[in-house]
Amino acid sequence: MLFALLASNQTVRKDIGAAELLQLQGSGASIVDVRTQGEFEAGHIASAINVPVDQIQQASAAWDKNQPVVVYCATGARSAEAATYLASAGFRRVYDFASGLVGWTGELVSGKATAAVPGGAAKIKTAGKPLLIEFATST
Amino acid sequence: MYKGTVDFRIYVDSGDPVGDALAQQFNIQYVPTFMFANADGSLSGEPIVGGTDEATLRKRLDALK
Repeated sequence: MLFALLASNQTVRKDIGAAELLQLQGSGASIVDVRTQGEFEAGHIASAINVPVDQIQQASAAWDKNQPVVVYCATGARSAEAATYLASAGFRRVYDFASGLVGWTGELVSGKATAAVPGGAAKIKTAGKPLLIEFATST
Repeated sequence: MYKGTVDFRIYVDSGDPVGDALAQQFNIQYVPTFMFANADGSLSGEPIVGGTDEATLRKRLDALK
């Protein structure tokens, strides 16, 4: 996947530690695990959502670019790629937990993410009005 | 009744990248599924999965901020 170059005014903060990640989460940042679904279900940071790095471009199209986003992976390689893309796509506050889960000393939870995630769910981009979305089929 | 105060979006089947991304992000597995978002983009309550009645939809729409 090719990503656009970083705009000169877009930066990614890579020096955040676990304490700051939790603080950002508590302030409403989305925590995005960019590993595979299997890795995620085996253990992830509580309230994180799973968007594998090769799906970041598509998934983030619906996100609010003004909301802070923290990305992480196992060792920092995939999160760096995701963070670079998000910053180049116009996300204003992108944080890369660069040490990855190998540097995480807190608890991990297993299983799938749920739709309603407390304390840091990714938001849906709206036009400033409440929104009802229906997923339907033509068959 | 909600025209002008609530936006409505419908994604039919797959193919729309924004709809596909949302469905994946929120683990939408069945259709129809109705998701409700406040004006600030935060989700309002749990999604409704499957058919529902007018009274339930109105109640959820009226609860949106």
